[in-house]
Amino acid sequence: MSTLPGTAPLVALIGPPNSGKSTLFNQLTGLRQKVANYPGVTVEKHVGRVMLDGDRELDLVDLPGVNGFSARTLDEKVTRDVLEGRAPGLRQPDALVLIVDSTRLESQLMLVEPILELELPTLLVLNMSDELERRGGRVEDEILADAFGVEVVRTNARAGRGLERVRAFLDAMARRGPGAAREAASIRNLSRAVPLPMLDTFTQRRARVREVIGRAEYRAPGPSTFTEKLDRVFLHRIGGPLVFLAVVVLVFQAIFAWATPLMDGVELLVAGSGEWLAARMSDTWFRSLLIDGVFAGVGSVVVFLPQILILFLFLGILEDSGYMARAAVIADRLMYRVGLQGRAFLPLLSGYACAVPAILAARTVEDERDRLATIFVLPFMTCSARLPVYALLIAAFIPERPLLGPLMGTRAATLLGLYALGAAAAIGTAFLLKRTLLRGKSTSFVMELPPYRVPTLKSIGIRLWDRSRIFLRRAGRIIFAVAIVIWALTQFPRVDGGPPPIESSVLGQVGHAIEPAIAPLGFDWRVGMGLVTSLAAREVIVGTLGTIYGVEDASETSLSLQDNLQANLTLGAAVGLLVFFAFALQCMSTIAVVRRETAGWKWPAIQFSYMLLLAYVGAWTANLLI
Amino acid sequence: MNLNRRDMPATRRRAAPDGANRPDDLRLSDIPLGETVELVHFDLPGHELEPLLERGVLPGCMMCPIARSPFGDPIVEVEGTRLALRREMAGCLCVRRGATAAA
Repeated sequence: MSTLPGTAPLVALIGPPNSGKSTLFNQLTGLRQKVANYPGVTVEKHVGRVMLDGDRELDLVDLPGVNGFSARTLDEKVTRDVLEGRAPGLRQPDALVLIVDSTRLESQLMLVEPILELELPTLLVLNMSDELERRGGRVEDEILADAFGVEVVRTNARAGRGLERVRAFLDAMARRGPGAAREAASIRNLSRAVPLPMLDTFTQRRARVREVIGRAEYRAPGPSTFTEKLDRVFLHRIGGPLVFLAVVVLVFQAIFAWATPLMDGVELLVAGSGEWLAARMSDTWFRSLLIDGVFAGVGSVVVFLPQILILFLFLGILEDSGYMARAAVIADRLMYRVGLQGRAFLPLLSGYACAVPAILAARTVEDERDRLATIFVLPFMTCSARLPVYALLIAAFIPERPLLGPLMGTRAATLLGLYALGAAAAIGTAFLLKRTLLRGKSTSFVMELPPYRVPTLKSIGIRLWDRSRIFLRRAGRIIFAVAIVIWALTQFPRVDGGPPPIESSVLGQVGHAIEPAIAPLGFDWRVGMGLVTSLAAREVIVGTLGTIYGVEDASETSLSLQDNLQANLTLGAAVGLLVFFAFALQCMSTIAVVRRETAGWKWPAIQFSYMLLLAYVGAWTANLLI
Repeated sequence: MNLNRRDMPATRRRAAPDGANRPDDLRLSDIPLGETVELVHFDLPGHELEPLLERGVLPGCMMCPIARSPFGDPIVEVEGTRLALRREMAGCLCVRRGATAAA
């Protein structure tokens, strides 16, 4: 963005959810958009720049989709703040674009009244107008424009129709220049302190809307047969959950089976470039820091990028097509009975790839207590970083024997068991939380099911780009720092001007120090060292153990590493280690993100301690019983 | 089945705001799929009304359940919009059969 922020006029895009707001935003701004946070809250701020004729530009802010302004939810509160000019970092918009789904005009126009009270230049966009006409609906724009006193434009944002008229409006606003500021009339909505008149307000508002669209000869469109037919299957009593299950399995398959070749490729790339660099550097501590510290550490995070992208690709398609709402509803039926919300289903699913983006995704959960519960149990979802550890230990200690005939052997069963353990811990913890720390009435859950629509490549692409950038920045930064620290721990105290043998390094001494504490679990100081390094990221333990045993090219398939482990651990201890990894919170990035999302150290501390305790007891029990 | 009593009004059949006790109120949860009924009033505390009101669910609007989960949570079509509700909430919506609906 070339012009300084704040000097261009600001227009706010506002409307109910599922009205095509984001599509319009993307069409107008393209990649010239930035995603950030409204300060102090977890609502996303989307601001973009629109390039107009004659070098004119203006800023467009895509406000969260809202149904009202009562500030009951965080989205509504933030929207209200922005509209009234109270949001820090954004001055009051100079104009508004209100976009609604013209196929549901009667309920969507409920927003018009409070918006008009702001007395800002407003453009009313009737989106999905193609669909309105196709399904036999109609409305007279001019009469609407007259009645409300605003300009009315019909669009089909996905196909890009009607955009020129929207741009014409924006152009007119840009010509006026920024800061045609006026005193904003407060949005007149009743506060929650007065419940009875609320019903009257809405009833009157509805009556007025009905009157206006009656005059505008509005004819509601016929039902969308496409949506009806699909919902007959997707919302079927039995068929619905089956389809849901199939979709979940498909997403899993994609994350694991399809991502593997991509991940291997990334791994090769990282290792290859590491070697290339190492060959061109002299053997100094700096080279060691760069290759063994930074490359190894950051590389272990970058390796998960293909998985994260595939997951988000699927989630983007499911979300934009409208199916995700159905999935959330089906999931809600089960989830609210254990204390989680249906909307938490999507973040929880994401947790199977990586908890970091999943915790960020938990912002879609409206109720703050539900959101906290979701964030708290998310790390129990078996993330990809646990897999190398599981793979190594299972290969070393579980003999392969058929269990369900050719369908499943003991090894696969163990892996499945670990997944189930994680999920059970998540459910049990959520249940517990809702009865103790986060006790409270569950709020009313009303979920709107939008009509099915074919997703556009553009919007999914933009979203993918955003999410991967955020993941790399967040996780990458933390891992980078921690990798350096751990590397440093292995480098001191110096012996003959070089790094010490691993057992006598600082890290080794820490391992010896905690040995008495982990001895009841069957662990020795070597595993102790691994547990410390895996605090950075779980899979780091594989490399650490390799270094300790002096194994070249340590990986989960390395036979010599497996042999070494068999010599040092009993079966009980190995299973205990598996259980430990299933339960413990061993991820600095997760802790950092939880701290951000809960604005404090209290929740990450409780979470870490709780999971550590559970891991310890679980591992001890496993070691005892086996 | 775990009906979380704390989340529901004290009794289902509590007095309507105007004081009259109508024990034979029809609730949305009693309506079979495909039948359209009219919303008469809410048996809900004020702050829980908002998500419904904002989406145009108001006394006088027509509702039609189009699907139900095995637990009983309905999906209703309200004037062009499909909404998913929890079973408890459906039990708090008092409805009336219209002249066009089957008796």
